[in-house]
Amino acid sequence: MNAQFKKGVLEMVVLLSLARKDMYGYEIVSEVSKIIEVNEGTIYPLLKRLTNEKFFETYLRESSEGPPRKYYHLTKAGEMYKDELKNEWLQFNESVMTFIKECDSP
Amino acid sequence: MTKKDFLNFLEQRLMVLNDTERADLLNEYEEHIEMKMASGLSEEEAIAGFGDPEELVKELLDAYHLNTDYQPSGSRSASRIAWYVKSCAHFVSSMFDTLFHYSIRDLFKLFLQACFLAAFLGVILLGGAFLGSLLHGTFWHLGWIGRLFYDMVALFAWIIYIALAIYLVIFFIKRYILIDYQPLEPPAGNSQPKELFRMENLHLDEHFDNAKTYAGNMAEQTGEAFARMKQKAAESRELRAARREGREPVKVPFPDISLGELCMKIIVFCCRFIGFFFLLMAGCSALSLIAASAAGLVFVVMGYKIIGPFLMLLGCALLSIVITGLLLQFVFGIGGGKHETV
Repeated sequence: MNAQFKKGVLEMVVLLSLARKDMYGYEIVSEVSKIIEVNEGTIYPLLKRLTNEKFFETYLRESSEGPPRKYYHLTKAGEMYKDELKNEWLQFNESVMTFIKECDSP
Repeated sequence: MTKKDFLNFLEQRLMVLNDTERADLLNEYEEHIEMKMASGLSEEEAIAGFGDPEELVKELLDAYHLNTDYQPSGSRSASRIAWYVKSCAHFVSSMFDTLFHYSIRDLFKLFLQACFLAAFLGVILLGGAFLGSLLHGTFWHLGWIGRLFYDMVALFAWIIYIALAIYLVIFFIKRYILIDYQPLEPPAGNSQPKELFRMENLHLDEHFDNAKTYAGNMAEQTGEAFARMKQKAAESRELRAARREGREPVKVPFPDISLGELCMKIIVFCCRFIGFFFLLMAGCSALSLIAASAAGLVFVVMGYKIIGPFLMLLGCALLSIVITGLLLQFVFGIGGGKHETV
């Protein structure tokens, strides 16, 4: 799978996942890996960046299996950004699909 | 890569972040690795999932909108200082290590060699000082130019001497004490710190071997040249003797030059070389004094009452002629009848 494609949608997929429920790092990685195959290492930098840009909030929650885990929560700004990305993607997708159809049936 | 190595690497490269951020990140990665291992993967596999650590760090720092090549000078110099200190300690400890592994006999030999080195340096120093004091008086009387010249030459000589001494000491240490020395790995970073003890780069062994070979060759050739000259002189003497006595000249064998003889000849040659300069000066003064006396004579003849000064000039001129003659004899061996000439 083309790396550029994956890179392009990774942010959006992460935002969409977190919109459903708060998750901790490892959980996010697993969720995203179900949809697109991606290098786990790069998820954390992405999480860090989006947190810095105030799209995420983090908090610690006690866990039954060891030390407290850091959970990520989508902020209002994050939600707006997520919607923006989703719309851009749908538009983008549509244009490309139309073009492909044109190419396939001259 | 082990988990510890991986996390240490991250910690080092993320020094630019503030402590909480960094600790935070490292925590998350550690947790992630733990959970992966809990799900059945080995430590290696868990870390392999992160891909190239360098790339990872780059992306992490990117998230903070930082120059990914950035290492704050503080932490950079701190790690460099730490490396220097460690290097010094390593250097000293490996020196002691090697020394302790020496037997008593070897230690004694080492001590002797050190004494030789010290004696060698001392002799050169004494020789230089002696020469310096010899020339000092001469040059200082030549006015400020002479003083300047003398000072410059002295400074130059000192620099050369000190450089030679340091070179030899380093070589000595490297040869005999640091046989198994492996310098420490410098810390990973964009700017390699200057490697203080990177003696391999000096190519000391090569230089010294070259110098030894060269000196050896020179000595050999010099010895041969002297021997040949001696043989020629002996041959010509033999030829003259044979002619005088009306017989066939006997074949002169190639003479053996002993080391002592060679050294003597070299020393004599050096003295003659120095004497040559004195000869030049003496010759110049002689010439000028002769010219002055001639002028004085003219004036005396013309009636000027300068008999006194004229006689003095004449005396000086004669004296300088005598000195020049002596020096000529010394330097070139001209007119020495009884002494054997080379």
